[in-house]
Amino acid sequence: MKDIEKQTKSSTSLSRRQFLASSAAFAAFTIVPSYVLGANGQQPPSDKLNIAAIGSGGMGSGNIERCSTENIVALCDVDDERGADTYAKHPNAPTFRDFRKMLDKEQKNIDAVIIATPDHTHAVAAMACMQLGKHVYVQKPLTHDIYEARMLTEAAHKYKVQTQMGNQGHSGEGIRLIAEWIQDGAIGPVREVHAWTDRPIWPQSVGRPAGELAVPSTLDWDLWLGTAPFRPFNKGYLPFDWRGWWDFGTGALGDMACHIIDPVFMALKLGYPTSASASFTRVRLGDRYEGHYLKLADMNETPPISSVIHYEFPQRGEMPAVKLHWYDGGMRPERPVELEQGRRMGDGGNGVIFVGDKGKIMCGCYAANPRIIPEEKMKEYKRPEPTIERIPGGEGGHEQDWIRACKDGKPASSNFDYSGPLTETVLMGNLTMRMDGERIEWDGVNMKVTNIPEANALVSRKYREGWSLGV
Amino acid sequence: MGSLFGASRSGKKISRRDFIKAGSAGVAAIGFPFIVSSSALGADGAVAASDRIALGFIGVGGQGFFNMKSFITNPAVQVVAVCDVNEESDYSKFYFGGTAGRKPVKAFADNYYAEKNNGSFKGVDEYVAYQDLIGRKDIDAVVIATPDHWHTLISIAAMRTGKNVYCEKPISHNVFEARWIAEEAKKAGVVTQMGNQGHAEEGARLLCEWIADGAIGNVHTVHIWCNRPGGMWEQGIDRPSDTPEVPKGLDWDKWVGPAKFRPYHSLYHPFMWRGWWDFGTGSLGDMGCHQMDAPYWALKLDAPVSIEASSTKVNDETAPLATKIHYKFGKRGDMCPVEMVWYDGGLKPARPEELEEGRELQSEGLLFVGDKGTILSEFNGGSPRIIPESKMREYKRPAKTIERSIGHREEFIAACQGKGKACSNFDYAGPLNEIVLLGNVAVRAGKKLLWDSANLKFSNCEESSKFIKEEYRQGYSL
Repeated sequence: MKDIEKQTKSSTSLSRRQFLASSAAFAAFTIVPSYVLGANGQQPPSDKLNIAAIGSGGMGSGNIERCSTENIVALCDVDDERGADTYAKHPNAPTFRDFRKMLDKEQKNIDAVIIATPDHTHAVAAMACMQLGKHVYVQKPLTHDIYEARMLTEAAHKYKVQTQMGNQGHSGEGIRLIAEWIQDGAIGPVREVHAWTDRPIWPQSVGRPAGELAVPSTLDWDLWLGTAPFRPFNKGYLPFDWRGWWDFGTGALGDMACHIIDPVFMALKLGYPTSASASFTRVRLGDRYEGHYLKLADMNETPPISSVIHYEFPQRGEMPAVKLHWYDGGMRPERPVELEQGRRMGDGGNGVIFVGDKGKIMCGCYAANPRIIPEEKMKEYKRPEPTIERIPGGEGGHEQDWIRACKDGKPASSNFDYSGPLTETVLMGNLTMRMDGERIEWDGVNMKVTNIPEANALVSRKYREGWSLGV
Repeated sequence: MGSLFGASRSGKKISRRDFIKAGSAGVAAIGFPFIVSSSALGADGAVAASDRIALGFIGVGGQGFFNMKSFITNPAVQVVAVCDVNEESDYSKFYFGGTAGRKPVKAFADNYYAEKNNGSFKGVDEYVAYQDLIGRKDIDAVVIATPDHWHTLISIAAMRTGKNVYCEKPISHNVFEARWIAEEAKKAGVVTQMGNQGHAEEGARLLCEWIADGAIGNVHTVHIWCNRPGGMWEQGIDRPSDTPEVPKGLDWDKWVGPAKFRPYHSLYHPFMWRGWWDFGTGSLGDMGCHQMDAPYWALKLDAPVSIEASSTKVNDETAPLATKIHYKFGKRGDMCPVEMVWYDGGLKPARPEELEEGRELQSEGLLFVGDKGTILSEFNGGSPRIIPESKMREYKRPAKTIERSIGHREEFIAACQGKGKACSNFDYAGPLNEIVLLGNVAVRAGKKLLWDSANLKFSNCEESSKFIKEEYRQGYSL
């Protein structure tokens, strides 16, 4: 199939990417009808994307498998062991540890890239891909910092690539129902929303692991650190617990809010918040018996065990100003009086409650199972006609929606124009936490904290030498 | 000394307290023959020996020692005995600092009196068993500062012998005990005081007066936040598996007392017991009696209708690291229903809109939210201010109608002398303790609880009754 691609390129002088990107406009004229090539319902080879992945283990492996309708042409992971299963499934794809080398060597063969690294390297990897004109699918949160999210959002336009953040609930039915119901006035104007998760389920507020362990030969620790300041290797950070360190992750909020707040952001057309403030635990877990009393965690190092975050959004058109409250680490909003006794709140561990002037809507993570509460009111409700386009396969079709976008040029459901500002909003919570919970007033358009000048230092972060976002 | 007390008119032995009460009521005549021995206790001339209140201290660790240092300077007080199951512990790692326990605290009292009396004072007595201390008829009042699980039993035992009782907060380990101790106090007719010192201060009074004055209209919400346990003690952990040796000088079995026996560990003693459900009552139990006092008083709170909590991970051993508890109260007279929200472990309410730019909520405090305004105060009601400050300045303060206190410990001693009233007496403090400790039940129950106060049970959660009333270890019920 590379031969086919070569032929296409040489004959049209269009890169494959350009070809695919422009296909929406020219499809009817330039694509060989797929039914000619793809008999028996099989996808014609020329329609297939050449996809690479940066971060091939864990979350990435699932994303890759859901993209396996396409050609998986190159795989990258700093950890050979983490990548091994995926590598085995795609034996023809060359493998790399350093995504920069992969892009150098294979860029001509790559149309699109899945990025599922730890949070701190999302942006550098995604930006490098976009600058080469590659479409990107980036795990949530889109970036580690607000600035990075803004840069990626702008870059998507600049480089005219198709983008998707890995908040798969955005392609689901639930989020559409909520948006349609709220649009329909099912619960009246919404002025207050509560969202919660029972995470973190990994350690947060632990002390930095002591000592220096030998780096396994299967891991490139320096590459894993990437943009982050150097620190000695410790297996405590991998493969998952990096979430609990500011240098790498974004805590429970960063992990879950892009899913949980997603329906709020979409249905209420939120945009940038005008303020955020927080309160949180400060005690430290780990070596707990030492000294026989709790130690305080270094909150510059690690997110808290539990936090409550308050966001304010201004009026948007007809929609009134709204307050969004986030709870994690076991904290939850008060149980709504409308919720019948014995009934589960949200999906148990996570959920959202929209408080409207005329009623409440409750859902779980990924906007799952939205219901007006109490159930009696749900049953009475005459649902409006669906107005928002459905994504084939719903949540499970999230990666395929991106592939479709890469091919037909119509943006994917959670493209960066949407998911960039969503990520920025989520990350505002971390910004206030890192400012001791103080209320941050935010000028979203100018990406600026207006009331505490020093907080602006946390809008972006300094990369380790040798790393740059390249903007 | 007990033998010096004669028979009362009713033929019963007259306690020193009865005697003093009688004295203040003008029946001094009976008194004189009996008080000879008081002079032997180290009179300093400022207060007639006969009027001095003989105090025994039960539980003289960090807080007990702290209490003594305050009480002993009261010229109306004569410290006569200390009791603790522990001889001496190092508190330097905890906020009390120094050392405490039977030996150092006795030494402190002895030195104090020796200096005052040129060494003529023979010293205070020391006991391991509280029964021995409260058995002494010459003692008027006891100051109890044991771990929480001992508070009610010792208080009631002391009250039944006619002792006046000053007991640290919370005065009970569970809701049942809170009701029981209040009933026993009523029956005994003794002077009682819970150790929530803020109750004697100006702030709580101002809050009561302003709220009654309608300064912020009808109060519908109160937010109360506390930063403990912070770095102070352990919560959110499981029981340790190692069983270190019991330190010399500690009677561990007596320390465990009415709780289910378990081997000694330094995670319990000294100081660390607060986080363990079997002994302490967590951050809420530690601070709730301080922090909920002004709301309870100013808003005339009675039993809550419902209590609902969420928290960091709950386990059967220790209180969680952080909690958020919602209490709902119905109408009280013409006061509107109110929601009271408790936050601990560092959590706080959302920053109130009225707070001026640049001001932040302190690490612990109270927010009273009315339909016409908001008051912010310190944790125990201190320094209340309507916010924003401009509204505070405009406010025409009402007359000070509530009597001011001479001091929390001082008013207890005065009340023991028959002068005035101890204001955080168990009649007042009992229901406050119930409110506080219901929060812990909600944390452990993991669901919204509907409280049937009259019947001491939850109308929707029979299984949580086990947290209302706990069983005493054999040999420890009264």
